Amino acid sequence: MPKRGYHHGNLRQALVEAALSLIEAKGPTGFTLSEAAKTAGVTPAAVYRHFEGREDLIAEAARQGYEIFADLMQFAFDKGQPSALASFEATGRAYLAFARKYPGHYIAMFESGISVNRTPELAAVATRARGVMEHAAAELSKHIPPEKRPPASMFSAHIWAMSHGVVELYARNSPGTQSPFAPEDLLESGIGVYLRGLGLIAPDQ
Amino acid sequence: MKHVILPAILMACASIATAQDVRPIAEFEEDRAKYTAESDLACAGDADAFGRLIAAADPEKQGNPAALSALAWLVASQNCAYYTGDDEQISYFYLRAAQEGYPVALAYGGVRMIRGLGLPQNTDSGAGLLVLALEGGFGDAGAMLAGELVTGIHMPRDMEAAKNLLQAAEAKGADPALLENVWSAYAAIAQ
Repeated sequence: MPKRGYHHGNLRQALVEAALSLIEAKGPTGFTLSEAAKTAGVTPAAVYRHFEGREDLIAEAARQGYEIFADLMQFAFDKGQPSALASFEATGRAYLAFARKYPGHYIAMFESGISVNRTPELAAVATRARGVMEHAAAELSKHIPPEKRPPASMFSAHIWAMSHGVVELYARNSPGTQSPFAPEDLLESGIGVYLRGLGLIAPDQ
Repeated sequence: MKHVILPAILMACASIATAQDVRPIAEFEEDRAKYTAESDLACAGDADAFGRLIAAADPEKQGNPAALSALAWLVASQNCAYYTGDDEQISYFYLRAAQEGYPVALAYGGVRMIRGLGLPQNTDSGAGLLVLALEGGFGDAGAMLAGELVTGIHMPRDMEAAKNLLQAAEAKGADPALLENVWSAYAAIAQ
């Protein structure tokens, strides 16, 4: 009779949650599988029942993060309808909200060095998240003749990059970075300036 | 040569688990090669090499971890001139070196902890040391832990974990002969 069996309710998920708390506390390279096992209350060897190593565990945390992120973006987009602009701006705000509410997932997704192409599942869900923003961008540019429309994939990527920058610099307490404006305001005004520049929304009167 | 296992060292090693507790094996490459060569000479009866190894290992004062580990191997090897077979002494040397984050010593110390050789048996802590050694880049550690999980003598058999560990060990360049042995045992039991 084994001293300790694998009767944990959901060992795989318990390990992911342990990894998320460790990632948040120590960064993606600051913890070991042994610590994750200890935090999850399982034996170090048991980790290998579900994961091939630490990176594999972080990749699963990232995949779950992208699932939440894509759902949140979709929810934000839907909530902003029928206004294409409101939907588009809502996806940007959702990015900020996600980074604040799910810091462990955010780090696993964007700061761990794990490629989104590491597994087909991770790639698929990352594509789904990007797709929401691209769809929002496509909706926003519908009123422009096709031959004059900027590619939705391009300007959605610009907005993604702007959102990411605001999160990194002003929403996640990066040392030495300060702004007199709230991150939400910075992002909203930045999106406005950018979209006006592209002619996607009317200039201020 | 004093070789009493200090309870404090054992306690410290039993709680080793964090990323700060292991250093990449690449950091030890030069020392590992040097003291492996010295221990080979000592094994063949070279008293000068043994003296150099002891001086570098300095077991009383926490010397070079690669030298400590090589010394542990030397006194544990039956065919060597300086064989003692003293389990407490061997475990002491490995655990002293493990405290310095040396992946090789973490791995061998881990196996000794799993088997209770010269120290109280603690399979969880032992497995933890082996996992840490693997994360430090010592591929053999994965195969060693897989071996323990396949045989199921000292800890519960877990073929699924063993398979993933063997794959991780392969990815980290474990010794092909060791891998082959464990894969063979795995295949025999999995049938």
